[in-house]
Formats: sequence, C-alpha cells, structure tokens
Amino acid sequence: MEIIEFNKVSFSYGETNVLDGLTFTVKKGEFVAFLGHNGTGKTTALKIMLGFLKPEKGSLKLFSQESFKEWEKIGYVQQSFENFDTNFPANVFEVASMGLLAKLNPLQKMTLEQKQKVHDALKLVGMEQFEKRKIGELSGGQQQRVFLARALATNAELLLLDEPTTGVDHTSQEKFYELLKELNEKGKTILLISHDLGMILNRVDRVLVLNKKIVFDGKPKEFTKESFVEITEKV
Amino acid sequence: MVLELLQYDFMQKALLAGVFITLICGILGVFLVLKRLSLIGDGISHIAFGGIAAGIFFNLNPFFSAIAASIASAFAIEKLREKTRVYSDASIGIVFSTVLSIGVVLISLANGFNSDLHSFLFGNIISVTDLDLVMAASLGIIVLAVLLFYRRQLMYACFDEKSAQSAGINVSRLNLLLILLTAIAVSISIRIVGVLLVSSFLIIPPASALQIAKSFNKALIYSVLFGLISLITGLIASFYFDIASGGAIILSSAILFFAAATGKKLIK
Ligand SMILES: Nc1ncnc2c1ncn2[C@@H]1O[C@H](COP(=O)(O)OP(=O)(O)OP(=O)(O)O)[C@@H](O)[C@H]1O
Ligand SMILES: [Mg+2]
Repeated sequence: MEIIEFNKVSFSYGETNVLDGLTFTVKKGEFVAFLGHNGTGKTTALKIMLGFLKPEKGSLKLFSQESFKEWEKIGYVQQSFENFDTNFPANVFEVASMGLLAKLNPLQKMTLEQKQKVHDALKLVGMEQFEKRKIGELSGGQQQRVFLARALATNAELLLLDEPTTGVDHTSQEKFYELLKELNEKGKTILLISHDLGMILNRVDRVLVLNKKIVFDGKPKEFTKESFVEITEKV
Repeated sequence: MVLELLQYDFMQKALLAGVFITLICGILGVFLVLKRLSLIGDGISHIAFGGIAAGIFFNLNPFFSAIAASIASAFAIEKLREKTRVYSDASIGIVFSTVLSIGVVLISLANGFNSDLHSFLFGNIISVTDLDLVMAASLGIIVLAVLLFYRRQLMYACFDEKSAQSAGINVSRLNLLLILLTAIAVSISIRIVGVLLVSSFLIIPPASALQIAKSFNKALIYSVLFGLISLITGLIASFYFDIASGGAIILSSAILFFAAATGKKLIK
C-alpha cells in the first residue's frame, strides 16, 4: 500500500522555485532516507505533506487519501527547534505527552496505559531520568530526544523526521538510528531527512535524493558518496 | 482584620467577583504571555473603554456596551491579523485608537468627566453591583470551563504551533478563541481593576508564575495564587487607605513579581 504519493508537485517561495514536478511514492513499511544538499527542498516537501504549505501544481495523497485528516497516524519531528522558548513552563514528561494529549477528547484523563507509553518512549530515547526536569533546562541534544519521544509516544504509523538528531552526540545518534531500524522492523514507515550518510546508509532500505525533483531513487548499495556529489551536481 | 471587612456587603461582592476575575485572568494570562499576546489585553481594554463611554452617553448599561464592543473587536482583530500580513499590528493599533478616541469624544459630549467614569478607569470596589457579580460569576465559569476544556491543545499550540498543527490541532481557531476569552475577561474585570490596569492583571501574575514554575500545571496554579494574594492585599489596602482598588491590586502584584524574580536569582 502507498503511504505517500507525490504527483508532479511544484512549489515556489515567491519567485524562488523550490520543487519542480516532484513525483515519488513511499510504500508501507519502507525506511527511506531523504537526502540532498542544503536548500534542495527537503523540508519544503515535508511541510507540504503536513499541510503547512499548499502545492502550486500537482497533487499528493497520504494513506491513499487526497484530503488527509487523520494526523494521529503521523509523527513529526521538525528540523532544529527555532522558535522554542527555553523558559516555557513544561517538564519533559509534559512535552513528551503533548502529541498523545492533543488526540484525546479534552475531558478524558490520560490513562495509565498512555502514561506508560510516554514513560516507555522516554526510556527508548534514554531520557527517563529527566522526566521532571524543565524542558528549557536540558541541552539541545537532550531536548531533541524528548521531541523524538513525543513522536514515538503516539501511535503514528508514519514517522516524518527532519534531521532529528541535530545536536545529538555520536553514540546516541547510533543508538537512535538503531532504534529507528527496530521500529521500522515492527512496521512503522519512516521518512528520514539526514546528512549523516555514514550512519544511515547501512540501515535504510531505500535512498531518495532530491534536487527540486527526485534525482536518485535506489538501494543504499547502489549509492555512494561519490555518486551523491555527481548526481546532485549534474542537475 | 479581613473578617471585619467581610461584614460589609460591598466588600463581600467585591471579593467574590474578584476571585472569579483572578481565576480567569490568572489562567488565561499564562496562555497569553506564552503566546506573546500580552498586549492584546491592553488593546481590548481601549475598546472596552469606548464601549463604556458609548454606554454612558446613550444611557445603556456600560457593562453590556463594553462587552459587546470587546467581542466585536476580538473578531475584527483576528480578521485584520489574517488579512493584513504586513503591519498587522499597526492596523490593529489604528482600530484601537479610533474606538478609544470615539469614546473620548462621547465622554466630553456627555457631561465631561463624571464620577462613574472615574471608577471605570481606576477600579472601585464600592461600585460592584449585584449584576456585576452575577455576570462575573456566570461568564467566569464559562471562560474557565472553555479554558480547561482546551488546555492541552492550548498548551501544545503555545509551545510549538507547527508541531501542534501537525498533530491535527486547529491553531488559528485556538487563537481566535484566546482573543474572545480575553475580551470577556477584560470586560468583567473592569469594575474592580479599572480600564487602565486591567491588562496588567492579565500579565503580571502569570509573568511572576513563569519566573518560578517548572511544569505547566504549576505555572497555572502559581499564577492564580499570585493573583489571589494581590487581589486580597489590594482590596484591603483600597478599603483602609481609600485608594483606587485597581492601583492597589496591580501594585501588590508588581511587588510580588519583583519578589519572584529576585527569589529566582537568589536560588540560582
Ligand atoms: N520561508 C521561506 N521563504 C522563502 N524561501 C524559503 C523559505 N524556506 C525555505 N526557503 C528556500 O527554499 C529552498 C529550499 O529550502 P528547504 O528548507 O526546503 O531546504 P532543505 O532541503 O530542507 O535544506 P537543509 O538541508 O538546509 O535543511 C532554499 O533555497 C531556501 O532558501
Ligand atoms: Mg531542511
């Protein structure tokens, strides 16, 4: 089953054309690396999927639906947290619960099971001992892990991750990608934007390289750093 | 001393109405401050003043004209924010000033600066009527219920609009809701806190709470507590020293703010 389908999507910010006839599909259960140099439109494509931006031309489907609304199926971690107020009064547990709570009817209390899910997600990213800590009092890498936990705590079937490990140290990154691999093996579909080729190529099933449109689509084996330079410079 | 004060009927009403106002302003204010909408309260109070002036001029109940004007302005603000991307703050400012100046003109056409107006500007505990109390209580309960109902979505949207949106939260509807609730909160707070200082009551107790709170629920609780302490000390001072209640309440909340800020520095 197709989870993501882009059909000749074009997009420009004012005069600057960023996506030009972008077409690709992602199937259920795939673990896809979404690569490309800075400014090639990766984040923009993600924002279009999430409905923050509307395509100028072309169309897209999520979970085979034209006007997709079941946002609980999507877990999203955005590229470095620019607008984050470090004085925001929320502790780690509260932040990690936000995604789950947004989907509850406001009169419902969090069930024990849901609380457990948040604890488990925090444990997965190695942040369980910080649950009561104020979010602004963590290091950047630790904050990023909490945002990951927030996406993991929901029942998301599709994870859209935009450079989720920015600021996370090398060992933790390895652990994190290993975790993604496990989640993928349990059935989650993952689209991962990243520049850490060395760590992700041996774990993903498929590589997409973007430069306004897809310029490479293949197995990680067929893809080398040399070819990356070649592919992206050809355009 | 406090018990002695409570013998007075007007004091009971002022205190009771004050508690409702404090609950609403304390909780609503946390969201406004976090959403960087602190100054909306200020703008709406200008509009409410225009409404009060129109009420006095046309001999209507100023409370109702104030609340009507504020709610209308809440919709106008959202429309302007949507329509005029550039300089939306300037256009909103222009609307506020226009309504305020109409108010000033109406007031001077009526018999100038009457005592009723004085109490609207600065707050006056003796002026709290039964109707004011009933309105503060009933609207207060509605506002509180709505805030509690949407608290999680509001918290998420205040923390991070984009992720909240990706979780299916309708952020622009929440923004309109916040502004509407602010309009109601301002209107029912005017009797006690006064037009000039009502927006401070929406900002200072929450800002003090944000100095020290480490979790969201605590921020809400501290904000209400700071508000209640300011309210009670302000009402007592207003009674004994015969000063405007608005000034007394906001002054105590400002003192608490500096205490919280200093306390936080000392702990660090
Ligand atoms: N809000 C915006 N307004 C105008 N131009 C923008 C905006 N956001 C991005 N751009 C431009 O669009 C292009 C694509 O940006 P995008 O963020 O999608 O790139 P990216 O592939 O995610 O890059 P990176 O690897 O640096 O994150 C860039 O040239 C950028 O300058
Ligand atoms: Mg990007």
